[in-house]
Amino acid sequence: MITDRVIPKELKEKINILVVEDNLLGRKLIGFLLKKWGFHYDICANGKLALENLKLNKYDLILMDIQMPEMNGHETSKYIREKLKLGLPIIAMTSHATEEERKKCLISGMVDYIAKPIVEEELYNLTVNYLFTTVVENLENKY
Amino acid sequence: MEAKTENIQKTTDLSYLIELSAGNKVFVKEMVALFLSENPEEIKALAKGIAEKNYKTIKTVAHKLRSTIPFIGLDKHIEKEVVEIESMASESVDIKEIEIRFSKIKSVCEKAYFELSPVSSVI
Repeated sequence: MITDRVIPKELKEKINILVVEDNLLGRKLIGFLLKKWGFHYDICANGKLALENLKLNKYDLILMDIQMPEMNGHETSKYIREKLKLGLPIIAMTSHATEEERKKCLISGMVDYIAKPIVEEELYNLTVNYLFTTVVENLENKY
Repeated sequence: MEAKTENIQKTTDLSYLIELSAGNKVFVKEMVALFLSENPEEIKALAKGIAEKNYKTIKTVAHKLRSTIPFIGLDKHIEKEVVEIESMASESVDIKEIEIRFSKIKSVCEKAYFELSPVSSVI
């Protein structure tokens, strides 16, 4: 069931999502969905490139693959929390959808995870729910 | 009769992509084209890893394949073998066990390639 939370269009346009995924087909698919839902996004192929992006741009949420060359999802998330001191939601995307993997993701600093192959409704719900809490409610509290 | 039925059965299944894109033909065609360019390279890399008994490469490529195959429905045919190879490579098991599974993966991927090549230009 699709979440009933709605992010207003004018706010959606200000939201920026970073997708970190080494698989070319995976990148294409996530990009297609985010565009369809009306979000701005950047895509990169590994953790090292993600860190470079994070130093240059402000993001509201990260969709993070786990097994990647150069720097994997766990190492990248730890770096984001411990060195960059960023608190934005990081959602893991993994083929290993086990309880053990979920725990590993949480320990690395990720807030949630989604199993591959991606189910559109699941990804939409996770993305919108986290953005709603971190972006929409934060803005509402300011005014 | 059964053999004949089996011969015309398709290995690939694009319903995941079609459903997810609400029938967006351009998107499906782009995904198929990406598969056709990526998959033979992955199979080649896996064969090389096996020939060189390079378990690290085998594990990495098997994982990559595991992410790729569901897009065109090949997980129904070879997910078990791909997962097994990934796990066997972690434990550096007898390479012959990996070769047996690789043989099936290669054959299914080749069949998929020939099925999708015309599709990619038609859709």
